[in-house]
Parts: sequence; structure tokens; C-alpha cells
Amino acid sequence: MLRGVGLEVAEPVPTRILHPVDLDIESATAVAVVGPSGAGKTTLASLIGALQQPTEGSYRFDGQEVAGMSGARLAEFRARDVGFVFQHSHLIDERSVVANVDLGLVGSELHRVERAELCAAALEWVGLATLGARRSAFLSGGERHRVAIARALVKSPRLILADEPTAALDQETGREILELLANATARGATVILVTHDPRAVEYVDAVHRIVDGRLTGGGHS
Amino acid sequence: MTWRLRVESVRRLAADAAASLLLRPGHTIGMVAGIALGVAGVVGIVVIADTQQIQVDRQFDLQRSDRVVVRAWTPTKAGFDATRVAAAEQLEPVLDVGEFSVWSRARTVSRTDGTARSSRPVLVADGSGLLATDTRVVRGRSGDSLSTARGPVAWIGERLARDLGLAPGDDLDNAQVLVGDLPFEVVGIIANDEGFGYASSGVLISRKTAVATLGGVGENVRVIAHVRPGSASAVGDNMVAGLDPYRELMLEDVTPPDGKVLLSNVGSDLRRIGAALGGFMGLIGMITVANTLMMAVYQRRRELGLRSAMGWKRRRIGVLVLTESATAGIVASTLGVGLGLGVAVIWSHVQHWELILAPWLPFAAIGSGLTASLVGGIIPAYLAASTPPMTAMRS
Ligand SMILES: Nc1ncnc2c1ncn2[C@@H]1O[C@H](COP(=O)(O)OP(=O)(O)OP(=O)(O)O)[C@@H](O)[C@H]1O
Ligand SMILES: [Mg+2]
Repeated sequence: MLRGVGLEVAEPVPTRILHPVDLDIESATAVAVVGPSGAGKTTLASLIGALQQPTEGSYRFDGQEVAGMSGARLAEFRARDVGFVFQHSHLIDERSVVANVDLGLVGSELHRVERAELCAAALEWVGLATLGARRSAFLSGGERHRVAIARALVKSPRLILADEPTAALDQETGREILELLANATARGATVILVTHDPRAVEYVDAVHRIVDGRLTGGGHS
Repeated sequence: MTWRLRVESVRRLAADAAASLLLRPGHTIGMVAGIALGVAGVVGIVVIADTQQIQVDRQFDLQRSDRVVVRAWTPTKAGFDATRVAAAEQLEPVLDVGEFSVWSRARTVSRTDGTARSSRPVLVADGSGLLATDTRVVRGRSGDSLSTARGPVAWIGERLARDLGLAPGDDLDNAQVLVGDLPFEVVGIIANDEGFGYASSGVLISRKTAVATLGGVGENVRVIAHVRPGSASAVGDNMVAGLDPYRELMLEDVTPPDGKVLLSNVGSDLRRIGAALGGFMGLIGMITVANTLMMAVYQRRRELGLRSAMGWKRRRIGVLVLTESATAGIVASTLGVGLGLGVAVIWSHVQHWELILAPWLPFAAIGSGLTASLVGGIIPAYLAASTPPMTAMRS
């Protein structure tokens, strides 16, 4: 639940990136944030994902106030509650698929064996059960995105944020990825898809449109 | 967190650090090489210095065993009984024996106009004492005249002569020095490079002159005998009893003498050079580590940003980079110790020396290498920890 959340930056010249927005998102639903390039979609997503702090407004996540948290508390919040899927899969090429998925288990105090089980389950969920030992550099683009989704899901976060997850993929693979992400709601996660991709609306419960740093409306699809 | 999870967390950090190092072999090798060469340099030089020192000491032991030094703890103005000293000279293994005392450890010595002042030892010896210590009269009156010299005449050491501005070859005819404020006529120049080096920088006068001009009974009054190798201890016992049958002078055999200290100083100088050189190379290693890690951190901005976005705290990211530098530091120092020891072993073998290794040296070397790489890692670790989590989203 965002109330009057906005962002203004001082560098290099004082600029308003995001005008105060109000936004409520039901938990365990999938929503899309759409809009033209430069509108402020990534910025909004970064505020929701607590990668940076808004300069004004209030952001409550499941009753907990996130705006105003210290850097360390924000990191804890991200570690526990937010899984990210970026436009590029950001895998560490030289390491195995499992090692990359394991990176997602930050801060969880688990034994090696439990971690291995969680990673295997996440890989199975994205359909890559057999590829765990492979070096990430050898994966196809679609497989890399699946691994990135497994990495985001492995800790069972309450929020999954995907910024342009399909931009670098072909039609067919893009669909598979959108479907995987939307299905994460079945695991209890709230999914926010930031995208240009018009197909995204088919997979989500609500669409929010943003233009020039302003939320111009949205609705249920 | 239970200890098991704590161990698990440290293990993951180490595995992460090791993986990062192995993924960039070029960087890692450059970083390791800097520290390794520094550590190898120190270890090699210190081990060779120590080994060499022992060889010097051993050689000196051999030499030392042919010099007997007997010290009087309660000297008198009269000094040693000439006939008893002459009797000691009759002992078969004795080549030369005579007085070679330090009358005063430090006196102000200067030119007659008061310039070139410095603090110098004043020695008292007789002709046989000069022979027994291999003190040479390089110019001027021979040492035999010490037994008859009464007036204010002095022999001065070669180095002192140079410091006072008496160039070699200068006419000694009118040369004079002030000892304290007493003028002495310089009648000869002496030198010693047999372990009694202070003779080369001091002032030598006869016992009679010393008693008449400086007064006192002398600070370190000794008879020194040059003897056949191996007989030192027997001659020492004999001299203590023979020179002072009534225990007036409280004689004691104090062999080994002063020379040992002198040579030990040479050895520790060598070690100091080793340490200084090592410190310098360690500094270079540290800069290499800082530079390499800085480049690595820059190249890894995306990965570090990703870790940060996924909820790694600043501190853990910093610790990750420090763990990498520590791991590289330990590997490098271990290699360096091996390399340095290897060089020292080969060197000693070629020289037919027995290797001397201080047991703490490898640990100290690894500790220093680790410290250098950790210090070098501080700034890169700070930079890494400062990677904003947005980096992942925008790259
Ligand atoms: N920290 C910042 N400092 C200055 N300008 C910024 C900053 N962050 C974002 N902007 C600007 O704000 C605007 C919105 O950026 P944002 O990345 O949110 O757009 P977007 O909707 O995600 O665009 P795209 O679809 O191209 O990814 C852009 O003009 C961008 O240059
Ligand atoms: Mg964007």
C-alpha cells in the first residue's frame, strides 16, 4: 500500500522523477505496471522493492512501514520478502546453476542440506530440475531467465518484482516466462510485472499505467 | 545463531571468496605474486642472515679460543706485577701476553683549539698487550716505548686521527690532542681489526701517564694473552692464579671478550636490512592488492549490486571482499615462505652452511603478508560495500 509516495532527486539538477502516487496491491495477486519508456516504471518498482527510499510519502508492506527504514533494515526486508527478476538474468556465468540459485538464499539461517533441497525444488518449479550442475554460461537465454526466477523464488518471498523480464526474449520464451511469474501467485507471492510487453495484461489481475511519473489509472483486467 | 549455523555462514563466505578468486585467475595471480615475492624476500634474507651469523659466530669461536682475557675487579694504581706477567709468558701455549685496559670508556677528545670534539675511549696498554691483541702501530713511535713513557704522550687510533683531521702521511712532529682539557703530544697512530676495533677510534697512553694525568685506577683493567688454539681455558685458570696469588686484584677469566658484541652487531644489521627490504616489498604488495581488488570490484559492480539488491548487508559485502584479500594473502604468504626458504636452503647448501631457521619466522611472515593484504583490501572493501542496490536494476 503506497500513499503519496514520490521521488525527487537532487543530482545533477533537482528533478521530480515520480509524482506522489497512491497504490494498493492485493496480496497474492499479479499486477502489471505499464507505460512508455522513461515514464518512471523502473523507479516505482525500485521503491516498491525497497532498492531506494522515497523522498516523501508512506509505504506500508503488510502493515509494516518501509519508508524511513535504515539501510540495514531495508536490506533485511529485501532479503526476507522481495525476490527480483531483472531484464538481464544477472547470473554469475562461471558458477553452476545451483550456486546461482543459492545466492537467493540471503540471510536465511539454513543448513547446507536444507539449502540444497530448496534450490532443487525451485529449479524443479521452473522446469530445470536436471540442469543444476551446469555452468551458467552454457545456458540459453530462456533458461537463464528461468534460473533467475528460481533464484528469486527460492526463499519464498512475499513479493516478486520483475522489471522487463521479457524484453530480451523471443515471443514464445517471453510467454513462458510471463506464465511462470504469474503462477508464482499460487505460491502466495504478490507479483509485480513492470513491462512494455502488451501480452503481460493477459497474465495479471490488474494493470496500472504510468505516464511521465504520474499514475494515470488502471483497473482490473 | 547457533555455532553450527555460524560455521556454515563462515564456510559459505569462504567458498564465495574462493570462487571469486578462482574466477579471475589473472587478477588473483597478480595479487598473490606481489605479496608472495615480498614475503619470500624477507624470509630469504632473514634466514640467510641468521645462518651467516652462526657461521660468523662459529668462526669467531675458533679465533676467540686463542685469546684469553683476565680482568681485575679491584685494580690498583700499580697495576699488574711485571715479573708475574713475564712468568705467564713463559707458559708453553702463550705467544704474547700483556695489559690491554680501558682506563676510561668515554672522555672528551678534541683538537688543541677545542674543535672536532667527540667522546672516545682511553686505553692503557703495554707493548706486549698490543702484540697480544694484534694492535698495530701504523705510524710513529713503536709500542715498546709505552713501558718508559711518563710524560703527556699518546698514540691515537687511525679513525680518531682521521676525524681530527690528521691526514695520513701528515707529519706527527707537532701534532697534539686535548683529552678533557689536558694536552697530549701525539707520538703514534694505532689500528686494530681483530675484534678490538675500539682501539682504532680511541686514545692509547701508558699506565704511568694515565695515573699521573687522568688519575684513578682504570674502569676495565685486563691482561690479554694470545695463546695457541684450544688452550684458552687452561691458560686462563693458570693466569688467574699466577698473576694474583694473594687475591688483591680479584682477577677473573672473562674470555670471551668485547669482539663478540661487535660481530653480533654486524649480524643484526643484516637482519635489519632484511626487515626494511621486506617492509618495502610488503608495501608494494599491499598497493598491488589494493589496485587489483579495486579493478575487480569495479568489474564486479553488477554482481555486487545484485547481492546488495538481494538483501546482502553492506557489512557482509565488505567482509566478502576482505575475505578474498585475506585468502589471497594467506596463500601468497605461504607460497612466499616456501619460496624464500627454498632460496635460503639452496644458498646455504652451496655455501656448505647449516641452515638456521627461527621457528617463529614462517608464522611472522604469514602474519605480515596477511596483514598487508588485509590493509590493501580496506578501500576496495569499502567501495564494494558502497555499491548501491539500484545498480542491479539499471545494468
Ligand atoms: N537517480 C536518478 N537521477 C536522475 N534521473 C533519474 C534517476 N532515476 C531515474 N531518472 C530518470 O527518471 C525517468 C524515469 O526513469 P525509469 O527508469 O523509471 O523509466 P522507465 O519507465 O523504467 O523507462 P524504460 O521503460 O525505458 O525502462 C528517466 O527519465 C530517468 O532518466
Ligand atoms: Mg525501466
